[in-house]
Amino acid sequence: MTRLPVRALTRLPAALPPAEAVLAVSGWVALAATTLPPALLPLRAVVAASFLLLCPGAAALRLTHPARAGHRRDPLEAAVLTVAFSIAIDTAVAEVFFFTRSISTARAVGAVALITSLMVLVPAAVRHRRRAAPAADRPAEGRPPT
Amino acid sequence: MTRPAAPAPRGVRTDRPPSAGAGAGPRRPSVRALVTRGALPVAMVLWLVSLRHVRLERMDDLGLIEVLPVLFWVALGLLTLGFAVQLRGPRLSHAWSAAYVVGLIAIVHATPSLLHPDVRYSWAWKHVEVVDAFLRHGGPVPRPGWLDIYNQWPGFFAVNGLVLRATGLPSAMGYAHWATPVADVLLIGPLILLYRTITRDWRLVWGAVWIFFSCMWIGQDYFAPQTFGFLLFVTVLAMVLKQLAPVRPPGAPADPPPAGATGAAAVREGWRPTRFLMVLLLVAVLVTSHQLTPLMLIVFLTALSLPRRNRRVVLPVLACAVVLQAVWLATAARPYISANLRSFVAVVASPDANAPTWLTGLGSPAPGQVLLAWVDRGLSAAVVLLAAVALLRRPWTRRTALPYLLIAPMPMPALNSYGGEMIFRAYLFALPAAAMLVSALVLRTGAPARWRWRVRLRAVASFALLLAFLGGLVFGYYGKEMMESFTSREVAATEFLYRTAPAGSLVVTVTNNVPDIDKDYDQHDRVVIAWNQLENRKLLVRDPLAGLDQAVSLAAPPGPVYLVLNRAQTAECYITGVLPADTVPRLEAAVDGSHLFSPVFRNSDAVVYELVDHNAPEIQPHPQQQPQQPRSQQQHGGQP
Repeated sequence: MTRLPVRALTRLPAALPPAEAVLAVSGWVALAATTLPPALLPLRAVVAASFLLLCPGAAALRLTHPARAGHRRDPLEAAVLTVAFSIAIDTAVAEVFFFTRSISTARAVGAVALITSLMVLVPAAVRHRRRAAPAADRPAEGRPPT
Repeated sequence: MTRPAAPAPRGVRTDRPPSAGAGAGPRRPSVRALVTRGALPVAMVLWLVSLRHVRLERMDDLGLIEVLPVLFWVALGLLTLGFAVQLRGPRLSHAWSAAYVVGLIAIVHATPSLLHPDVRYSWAWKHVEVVDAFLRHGGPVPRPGWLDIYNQWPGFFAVNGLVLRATGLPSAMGYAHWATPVADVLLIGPLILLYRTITRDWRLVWGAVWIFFSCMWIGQDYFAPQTFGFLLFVTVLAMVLKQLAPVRPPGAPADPPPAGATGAAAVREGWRPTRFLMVLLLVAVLVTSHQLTPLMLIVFLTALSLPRRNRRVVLPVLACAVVLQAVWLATAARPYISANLRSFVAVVASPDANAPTWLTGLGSPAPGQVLLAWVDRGLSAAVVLLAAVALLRRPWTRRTALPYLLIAPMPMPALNSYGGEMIFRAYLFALPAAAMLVSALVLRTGAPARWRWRVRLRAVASFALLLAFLGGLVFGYYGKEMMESFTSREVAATEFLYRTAPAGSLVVTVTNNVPDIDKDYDQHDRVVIAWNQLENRKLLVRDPLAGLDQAVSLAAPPGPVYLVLNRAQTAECYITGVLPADTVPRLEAAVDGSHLFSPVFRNSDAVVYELVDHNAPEIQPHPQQQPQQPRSQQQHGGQP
């Protein structure tokens, strides 16, 4: 079983591709937007709705590797599944809060943000560690192998 | 001899003209290009201009059909012409195809939203109120009354609660008004994904999408769990069919054969774990959000698992769907299931009892509605018939998943009436496959040069068929507008009611067709006389005041009692015949002359009465009276 790459996780931010970095922070931006004053409600609504409709699904999609061997990359499939996965994740989170009677703005948006971040960061950390591992095994330049 | 271009599973490549390179002269815009690029913007302008001349107050039997001006119909015809022409052009543009489909959705589905200031469908109002109640209580609603079913399938409402919390919007009412066109636009993607597992011929794909939206007349695309469930259902189906599509072996042609196709080169992969988990998540959300859609999914997956070659992909999803559904019914939904199990079994045991409720009313449907019913059913029958012909005339369709997707929902009406709606729901779920089959039958392109006249004839015939589909659609979709829309004066009446009625009040109506009547439904009791036992309804027809008194006495209310009568209840009685058309006006006249009730709010479209004499013998419960109908039968007033 793969061990949770906590150490790699802490070194990640600089190593993330821009798209993944945006996804990882998107939920926290949406959470911050919930604290905007009422005068900025339209901005809050746009930020939060965009996050809920796109970001959890986009993060999940990266886990499912839609471009399988033998199949071409399919932007339409990616778009459809992004929205569908987002709706499914949002609904699952909302139902947990519903049955536990514990919904609040911060908890609900924070939970979706956390799930989105983890779906981006954990695979990236695994990737990062795999790349780093062979490099560590290699002898440093100029030093004879021991 | 040159064979006609076969729209076989592989289809024709549509990104270049078939005769490209053969004597291509200098480019100039052809008539076809001008029609393609001009029809859409002109149609949209004509449509928007036409809406300024709609007189909603003149609506009668046939709803919006009677009041939409000629310009509206010209716009719809022009849009169809532009789409048909561009579909048969040498180069198919995805951008134009998509724009035409969005244009169709705008004209057909956004027109009511633009014409009415308030949300259509009393059920959409209820769903908004359920979201509000969920948020008010932070979870399941205590004392939900007859809306208890939503506590047990909360997915759609819970996610809307999350959206409201995150966006800070005060209510879902604002976006519920636009739910229909938005949901339809969101459905385009999953439909294309589904169709592309069947064929690579983009003409057939876009044609099927157009036909789907031209024939979806049953109005299950509003702010409702069914709309939400159908979107996820089509997505799950598309994912399963995509997984069924064989993987291209090294050296094989670039385009793999369609899902369900047979052949030596067909190599199917199993599910990747993460993708399978996401499919399961979608299924789980479906199971927790709607009663019917997961059952339909199970039926569809069962049908798809019949061919042995599909089982490796389909059976794991089917098994998980069955387990999830069983677990949900045995746990969260158990109260509803145990309360209604007997009626479910009774319905299954007597399929002849599954008649539409409008056939069992005490009145007669409006004359226009009889015509409308024939057109609706004619459109549905024509679509299914053409789909069946396509299976015979286009052999390649039989090698795809289409036959299974078409036939799968057909047995469902025999199992449960779903308030008389099951046959229409079955049509809805069969429609994606039927639309593709009809597209394959009528939008076939290409023919040898000596058969050009046949090509032109076929083009004209297919254009006429697309127009006929739209003609049928508007009857079903707009024909009940008189009862499905509400005026601001009717909304004002219920706003007044819930500003003044204390918690614990009983609110009585003749039918349930009142906007926002279930506001704060956990704090008020409701009586809908049209859902009461036959004796009470007959008494209401014979002697309106006595029928009302009996309905109140049956409920034995401990608190204040209000009676709400409005234009839309009159319209529902007239349109559907659930009660004689004059029931509501006669009741209003009788109550005006009664000493028991006093009007506390009145305008030209609605009136609210309050019971002033709680001790009158007419409204006291009698020991010999039978109790109200079971809740399961009350649900038949409509389905979420």
